[in-house]
Amino acid sequence: MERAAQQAVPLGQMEVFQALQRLHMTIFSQSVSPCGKFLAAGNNYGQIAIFSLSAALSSEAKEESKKPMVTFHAHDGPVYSMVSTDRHLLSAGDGEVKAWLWAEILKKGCKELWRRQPPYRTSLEVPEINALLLVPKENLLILAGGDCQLHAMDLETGTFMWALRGHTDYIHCLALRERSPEVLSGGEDGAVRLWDLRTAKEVQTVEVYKHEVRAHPTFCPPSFLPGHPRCLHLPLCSPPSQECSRPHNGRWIGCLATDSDWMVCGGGPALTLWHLRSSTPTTVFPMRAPQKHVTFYQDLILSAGQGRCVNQWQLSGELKAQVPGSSPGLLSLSLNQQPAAPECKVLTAAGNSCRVDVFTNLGYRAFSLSF
Amino acid sequence: MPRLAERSEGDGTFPLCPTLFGITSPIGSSDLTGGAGLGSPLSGYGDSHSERFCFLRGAAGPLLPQRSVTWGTVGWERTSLEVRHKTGAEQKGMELHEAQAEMVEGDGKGKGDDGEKVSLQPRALSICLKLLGGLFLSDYDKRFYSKDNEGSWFRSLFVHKVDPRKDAHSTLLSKKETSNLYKIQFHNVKPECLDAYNSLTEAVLPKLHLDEDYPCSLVGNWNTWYGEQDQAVHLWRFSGGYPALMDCMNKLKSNKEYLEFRKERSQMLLSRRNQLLLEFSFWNEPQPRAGPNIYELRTYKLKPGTMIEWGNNWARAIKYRQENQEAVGGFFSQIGELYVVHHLWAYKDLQSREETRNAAWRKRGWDENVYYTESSKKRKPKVIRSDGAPAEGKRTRSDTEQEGKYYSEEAEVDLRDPGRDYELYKYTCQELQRLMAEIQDLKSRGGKDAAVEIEDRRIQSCVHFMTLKKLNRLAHIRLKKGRDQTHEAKQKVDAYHLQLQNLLYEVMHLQKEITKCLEFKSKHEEIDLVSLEEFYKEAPPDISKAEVTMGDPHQQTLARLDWELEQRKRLAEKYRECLSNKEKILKEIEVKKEYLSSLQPRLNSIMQASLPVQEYLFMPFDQAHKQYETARHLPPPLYVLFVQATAYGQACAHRKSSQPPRQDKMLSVAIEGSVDEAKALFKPPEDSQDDESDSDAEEEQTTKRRRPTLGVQLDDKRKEMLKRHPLSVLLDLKCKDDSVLHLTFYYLMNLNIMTVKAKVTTATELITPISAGDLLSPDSVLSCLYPGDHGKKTPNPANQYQFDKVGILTLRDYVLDLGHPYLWVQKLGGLHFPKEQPQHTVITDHSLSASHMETTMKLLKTRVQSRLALHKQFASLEHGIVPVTSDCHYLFPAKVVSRLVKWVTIAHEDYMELHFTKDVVEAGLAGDTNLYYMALVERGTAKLQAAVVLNPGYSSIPPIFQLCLNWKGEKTNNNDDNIRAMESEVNVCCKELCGPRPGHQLLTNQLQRLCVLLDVYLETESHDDSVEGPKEFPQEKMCLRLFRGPSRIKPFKYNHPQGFFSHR
Repeated sequence: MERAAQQAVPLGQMEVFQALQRLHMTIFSQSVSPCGKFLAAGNNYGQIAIFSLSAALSSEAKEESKKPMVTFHAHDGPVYSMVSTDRHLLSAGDGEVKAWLWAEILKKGCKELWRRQPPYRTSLEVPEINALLLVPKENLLILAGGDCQLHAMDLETGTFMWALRGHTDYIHCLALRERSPEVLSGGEDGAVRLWDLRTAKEVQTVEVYKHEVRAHPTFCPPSFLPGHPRCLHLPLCSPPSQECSRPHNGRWIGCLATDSDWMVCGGGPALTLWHLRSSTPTTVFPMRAPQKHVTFYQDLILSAGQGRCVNQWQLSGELKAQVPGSSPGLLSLSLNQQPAAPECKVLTAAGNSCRVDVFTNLGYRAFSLSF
Repeated sequence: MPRLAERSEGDGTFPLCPTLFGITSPIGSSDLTGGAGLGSPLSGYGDSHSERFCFLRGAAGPLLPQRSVTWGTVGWERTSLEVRHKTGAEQKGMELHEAQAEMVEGDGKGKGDDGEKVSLQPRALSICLKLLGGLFLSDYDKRFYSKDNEGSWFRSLFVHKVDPRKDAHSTLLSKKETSNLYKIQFHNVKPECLDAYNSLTEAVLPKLHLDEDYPCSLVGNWNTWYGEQDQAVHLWRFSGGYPALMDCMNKLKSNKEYLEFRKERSQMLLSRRNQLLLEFSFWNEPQPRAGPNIYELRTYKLKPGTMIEWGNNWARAIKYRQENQEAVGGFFSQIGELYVVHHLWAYKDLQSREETRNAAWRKRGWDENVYYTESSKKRKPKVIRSDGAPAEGKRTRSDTEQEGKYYSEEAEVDLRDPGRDYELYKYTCQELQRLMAEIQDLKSRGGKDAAVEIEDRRIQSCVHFMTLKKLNRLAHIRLKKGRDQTHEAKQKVDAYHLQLQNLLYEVMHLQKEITKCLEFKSKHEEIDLVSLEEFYKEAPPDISKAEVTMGDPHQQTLARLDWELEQRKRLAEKYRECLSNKEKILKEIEVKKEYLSSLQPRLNSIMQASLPVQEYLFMPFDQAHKQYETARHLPPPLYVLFVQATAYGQACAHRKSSQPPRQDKMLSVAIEGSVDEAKALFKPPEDSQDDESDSDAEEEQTTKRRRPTLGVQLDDKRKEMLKRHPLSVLLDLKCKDDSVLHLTFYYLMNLNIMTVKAKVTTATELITPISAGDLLSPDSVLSCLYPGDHGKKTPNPANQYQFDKVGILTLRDYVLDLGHPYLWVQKLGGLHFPKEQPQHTVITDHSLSASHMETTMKLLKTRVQSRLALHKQFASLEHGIVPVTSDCHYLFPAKVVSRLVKWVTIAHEDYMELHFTKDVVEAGLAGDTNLYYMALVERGTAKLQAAVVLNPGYSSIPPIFQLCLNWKGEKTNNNDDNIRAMESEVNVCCKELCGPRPGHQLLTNQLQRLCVLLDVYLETESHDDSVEGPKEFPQEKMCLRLFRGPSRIKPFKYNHPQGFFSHR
């Protein structure tokens, strides 16, 4: 009898269910296509949606062009991380990494190109993959997540070459130092570890929650002042001593970004700018809410996390701007800097909603793409 | 019959067909050759165009002395004339005329005048006219004789044509009338008596000839050889004319011998005929001649008035025929048949006749004269110059030289040119003037010579006068001729015209006939015949006759008509049969009817008797029957509903009956209300009294209405508009747990919509929780049975206009009174209203109702059950007990610390104002038809508020929770991902919380789940080292990992058999 009733009100029930799904949707990851015109977004239901940035940004954009061109079910669990190679979109979440061809992804019924699972120790629960990192020089993909290890996969052969162990809790994020083949990883255990890819060894460990920034900076090492334009406005005088640690938020490092010797990281502890060589925090950015994503952009640091806004920081720790988005919390930022599509050069932000906010410049939110 | 060519001149001067008619032996001659009869003369005999020649053969030499003459007659016919000869004749005519003119001149000179001195010119003209008048008054036959040669010179003018030397002859053609008269007798003798007759006449007649006392002499007796057979011809001559004839006749009367002779003779005769003849002056007197000879008697019948012309021509022509002495005599009839000319010729034999005649043709002049006689005969009206005096003396045959003496002026008119005549006239007048002037001149001079001169002039002028006269005559003739021609032409034209008219009339008539024929419509065309193929297929071959009728449409139609007739006859036969059949059947029906009518009372009594049995057996057939009766008075939509609901109820009952009977009946249908009222509604105009009273009442009402204010009036109108049909359908829907949903369906007649009122009764008395107030209220229990169907707006778009009229804004204000006009109610009643686009008209439709009946009934049942379930749950929830049923225990861990402490209803507005429900409101999930509740879950210091949206379609549509945790600050989905995850766990993953099938336990399970989630949340919260003291909520739950993923979600998923929590 119940079944009959369900058949009788398919519309109402379906509508309510869809509305509820959308209401509780979280977009974890984004990736821009190599051509720069498309944006892939993955949500907590394991779906990947492809948006056409060029259509949405064009002058004749309609409401439909802000909807995904294609939505397909990629994973059983949430899609925590995505990266794009020249041809492939790589997505990961529930312990597997899957590859999709960008060229075919826009067609309906696109099948994955391949899928790989890192060698996990058997467990009751399949560990998730929280971060993917491409090392273009080595043609490596580095995966990190629930099993506290970094797995390196050769993209050519699809084999897992080695695993880096060291973290005591699951890994949240990865970052690549481009000059030297070094990878940074940040985890739930509150440590940022620096790994040398050549030796596959841990080089350095920064336990952020243990540090505090002194009120009077002792020195500014001359080595990192010259030769880097961002260091011009490096604050020599900071506000009174600040602690990175925020015990009520936990120790976890949710986000990392590097630029040569500089690193910015945040999460449970405050968002802090570090000098890697000296392993000292230089700036603590005054933001209460935990940050989930951070990135360098020109001479700015963009960060997002709990709260509606995308924050733009000066390196000195000054909050340059807070641009509100449409989601109550943001989880990922994506800068489309593909040279192939200069017209699509935008910042997109996604998080605890079904919407992806698009910023055509850093000043304000232009519109939202929506699942 | 031998045909002899009279003349054979090839180049066709005359096409001649001479026929030798007969040759008889001469009467009384010794060498009489007896001839057989040779046929009858041609029809030309007696015709004016024909001529007859006697063919004679003299058996004896001298005719009279021997008294033996052989006769023969030959006749031929002349048919046509060559044109060449006509032109030739014309020339001749002209020549003649000129010769005449000379002669006249000559005459004038020869004769002197008596010397009158009077001026001549006027006199001459006047006389001329007088003479002309006289001329035209005269008959054609009239002959002018210049008896008197003396007298005035005018008279001499007339005779100038004739040879002056022949002046002494007083007759024109004949020798003196007084001298000889001839009688010719034709006696047709009986053939057997011919010889007797011959001998008789031979005995008697010569005596008369020889007797001196009788002045008659017998010229000849003949028997015909060729021609009319058995005929005797006698020719008598009376010397001394008529006196001699009379004398002779008188004497014969007294002659006894002769009388006897006549008596005897009369016995031999068949007929007699005689003529009195005169002799032509230019012919020889018949003389006795030596024989033997054959005689040819040629008899011509002339046109009247052509005699003189004939004479003129023959006078000239006879000279050519004198060589062999063949001419015996020429006669013309005086008394007896008129215009008959007899020429008597004598030849040695037929051969010599032939030769003689050929010789004559070779002579120049003969043919011309023959031509003239011919042409004169051709023309009918003849004017004959008759002023020529015949030549004197029997022997003067030389007067044939008088050429031009006789000719026809009529003919001349045609030959002469009028223009030249005019010239001639002018010239003559001039000459006359000149001559007169000369005469006058001479006379005035006097002298002897003058007389001669004058005489000479006189003669000349006479000639001129003659010319004038001639011209005058010609002119008159021309005039007359012209008139005649005109007249003739006119008559011809009239005749043609008449003919034309007749023809036209005939044409018209014929055309009419034709159109009549064409328009003729046969009766058969109105008959609708069977088609051609059918005809050939079905008709027997003796009717269709395909080989004949295929090609011939007429025959085909006839055949088809035959076939039609045949078929109709057959059908008529069948019709008669059917009629008789019908009669029979009618009779049978009568009989059966009677039987049936006798059955009715018996059945009634049986029915009566069966009632107690029915009651006893719970088989309310009678009741159902009554209900159906009542149903007839239902308005169409209610009727449809009634029928369909009854049918559905019965169908369910049947289905149930196959299983062990658990309930007696799931659906029961009944009709409520006053049937009488309904009846009255349907036929108000029938009862006139009622009608009047009604109208009176109405009038009163209306008058009353007019007086009160507009508002009252509108109120009445509204009431009228919202009037319900007096009958309503009651539907009782029983659920498994013996609760009953009572539905009362009404029909609003004026709005054409149906409404429903619902009431739920339960088997056991319920403790009504405060928060469950609305759950079973009639107002809301059926709300949104189908999505969006609030039942507060009228489904009939037409109603809006009706409302506008009476000032009703929406139906919402009246819904409590009238019941809810849910869409599904309309559909059950078979009413379909267009939603957005205009579609169908509103017609009650059984199929629509039928298609919705089952689903709707099921929905209704589900709805009631879910409502009752909620009702029960609420009763527990209000007391802080989450009534998790035993079959749902597996969903939750055994130990749940968090407790529900509050469950209250909140208003829609209050819900909207809550700060943590924004998302739901924005998502459009918080409509005003939903029910709203607030739950509070507590564990220690942590207080979790949950705002619940309960959709009317509960259990198929889950309740929606929004959370707000008050613990270490306020945490909502905005600032805490885990709160968000908890909401998601409750709302989105509700399917695993539904529990056993009906799913009515969903709300309870969700609440219980919420409690568990709160436990997990609190227990897994990372301990802040900076805070003193032990953890408030020690971790009791078994968890694999505390956090997972970028959002650091806690392990909210409970794994049932193992009892640990994991991430989703």
